[in-house]
Amino acid sequence: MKRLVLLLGLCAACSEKQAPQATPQAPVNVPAHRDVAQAAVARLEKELGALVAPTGGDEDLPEHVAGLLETIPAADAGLANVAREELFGLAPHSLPLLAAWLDDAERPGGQRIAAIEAIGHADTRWAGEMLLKRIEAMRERKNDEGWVRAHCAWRLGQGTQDWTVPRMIRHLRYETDHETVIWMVRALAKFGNLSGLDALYVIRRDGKTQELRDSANLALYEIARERGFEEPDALSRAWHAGDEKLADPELSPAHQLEIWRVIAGFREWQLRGVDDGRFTLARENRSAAKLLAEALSDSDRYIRTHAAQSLERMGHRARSAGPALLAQADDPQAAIFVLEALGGVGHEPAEAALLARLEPTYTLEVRTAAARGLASLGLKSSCPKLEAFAAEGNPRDLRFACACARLRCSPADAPAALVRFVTDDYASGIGETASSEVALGAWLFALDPAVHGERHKAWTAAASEGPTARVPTRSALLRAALQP
Amino acid sequence: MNARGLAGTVVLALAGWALFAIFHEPARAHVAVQWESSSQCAECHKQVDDEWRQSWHAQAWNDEDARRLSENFSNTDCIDCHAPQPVFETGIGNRPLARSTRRGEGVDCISCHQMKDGRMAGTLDNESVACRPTAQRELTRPEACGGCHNQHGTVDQWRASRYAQPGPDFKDCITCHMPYRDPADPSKGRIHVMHGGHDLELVRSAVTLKATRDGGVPVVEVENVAAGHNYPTDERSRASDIFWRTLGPDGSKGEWHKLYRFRNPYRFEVGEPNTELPAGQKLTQRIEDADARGAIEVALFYKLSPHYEVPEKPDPEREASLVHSVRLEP
Repeated sequence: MKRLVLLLGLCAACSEKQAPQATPQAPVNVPAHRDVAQAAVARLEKELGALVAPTGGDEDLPEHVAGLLETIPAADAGLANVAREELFGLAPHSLPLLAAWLDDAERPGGQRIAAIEAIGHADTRWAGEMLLKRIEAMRERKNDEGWVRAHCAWRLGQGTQDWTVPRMIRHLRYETDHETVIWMVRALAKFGNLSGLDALYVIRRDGKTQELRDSANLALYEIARERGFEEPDALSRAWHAGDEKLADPELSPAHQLEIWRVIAGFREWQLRGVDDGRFTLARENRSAAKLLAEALSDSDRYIRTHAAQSLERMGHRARSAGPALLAQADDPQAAIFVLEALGGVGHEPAEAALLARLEPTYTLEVRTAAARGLASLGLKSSCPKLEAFAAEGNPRDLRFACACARLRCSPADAPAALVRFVTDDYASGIGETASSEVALGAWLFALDPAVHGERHKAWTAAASEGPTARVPTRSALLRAALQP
Repeated sequence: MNARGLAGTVVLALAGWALFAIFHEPARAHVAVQWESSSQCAECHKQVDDEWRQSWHAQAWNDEDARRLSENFSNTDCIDCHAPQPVFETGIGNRPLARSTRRGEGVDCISCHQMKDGRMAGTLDNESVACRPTAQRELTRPEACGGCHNQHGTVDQWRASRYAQPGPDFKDCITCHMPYRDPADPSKGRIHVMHGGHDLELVRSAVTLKATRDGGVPVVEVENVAAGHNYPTDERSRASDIFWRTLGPDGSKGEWHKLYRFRNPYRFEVGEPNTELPAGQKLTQRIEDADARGAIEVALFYKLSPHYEVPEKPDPEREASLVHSVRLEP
């Protein structure tokens, strides 16, 4: 009998090794989803009508247009202006003829520029499409004429076709001609979109010629001064911070349609288009956040996921989407992206919901994402709970995310043990290096500059190094700063 | 049966019941096991785990090139495939999405095997073990790999090849990249090292290099004889170059001259053509240089990272891996 009891005890002990872990409770506030993006595209397409080439005009229109295009670059200024005005008056019927003239690389440049001006002057949706297509053709290897693209970009900035904004942002990702970039950034700025300032900084520093570097610098200052800023850095900061004093023009229905098309495209299988979409919408005007917030209710998980990611990347410019994000905090498929976005957009009322999702009643994926959201939110009031979940005994991913968040929420009084924990992960070079770098940078710069000023400078200087070189450099700085 | 015998029978019956309860209950409770790390799988599947740890799937998050190109994944677009949610969660054939945790494990057991209900996709059904495997044919299909690997067109390249057609030539991803450990006994499972572009022997087996003369002019021929997709496949990183150099009668060797490059440029390299060699196809190039009329060596090199330190003066022997070389006499 004793043997039997021992056997039973042994079996019980063995079976404990396989004891299951507790299953996290399912979230209770599962939001309702419906078709949002496709419906919006259909509604706006119906409202705006199909984009069709203008037809009609007199029989002698081709000859008339050709004569004027040949006259404009050859005539003196006075006659050229008269011819130009006459050409402008032939729109919209003349637009297809002008587009064909522009595409004929055998024509003299002056005539093609005159065609661009006349198309741009028409300032219709179709005209905007013609100019934009000439720019976008570069990506299909059909337009290697940088000067044509630059002129088209310049002319788009003279019109009112704000719907070109998302497509111009996307194209900026690929454009190789610096002059075109400068004019596209200027055109975007005309529509209240300052996402191109960063590109101007790059050209000001690395432009192929001094003329281009000067041109980028001039554009930076002109754009800044048009908005009442003395210098561009302050304007750039205001843009990225979502400063509501910066004008944010109302989106036209055509602009909304373009944005909804990008959002609907998030369902695509190919990541290339999705990457472009996230890139584009993250740089859109503040008003785009409203549409992305609506997209969080779409029935497609990819649309919800990438809408949340786009909002997160918009940062504080998407602050208005906070309540919509919070409503989706228990989305069973997209919650992890929503929680990170809540922090990214700086929605402070979400702090309690994020803290609640650190608890073990949620999955580890959700808990870790909540910690990342809290890191971006950066509220000191989150610190006690973050410290508790950063303590040993918690799952490592959660500990690490909470430790990073704790450093960011109040770096000046971060416990040294947490700084060491995050530094060790960072120094390994294979962990969540991007997260730890931000957190550790915040901690280092919270140290007294009188003591650590040289380390601050060295940290900043290392920014230009690639990650392989930068991580050891910065790790050494951190370890030195951690010395008592 | 006397009283003692009866008591003994009852005790034995109780003991039997207790044993059943002890062993049976955890089996049902496996429903609740949470898979939070692939190291949990290693407790039972050590051989697979050992193989996987040698694989580049295991390095998806840690690989230096991936980290450099993604700026330590601050370009979060890359996370979707370098640390994906389980492919059964997003759906076989669908695009994967990023996960929040255990990213350091890269593309791991859970990424490929965990199903929505927590069970593990495998080749057999078994409710009595912790991972509760369930036979899922989708696991072995190219669509399971394609969520990530077709983002750069590899599965589409295979679909366009003869290997994708039903019949004796049919081969799919796992035929070459996850062969059986023992072809005579498939029950021993497939190798989880998933050899690919980092395995030079596999690369060598994919292509042939020949050189002949046509009226004294060297004619070089590279044929994709065994890869079920382009040679090399991938976008941006992989490249393969044909070089040639003169060989002097005294054994001296001239400088390498680049003849041709096989590569699919990255999306931002606008204007650069895709010059990869599709499955089953052949590329022929003539070396018109007068110096090539004498003895020459022609070589095919392979690069995991496409750039040479000094593009105008590449040193393929140092900066790339030799795939094949041939000597061509005058």
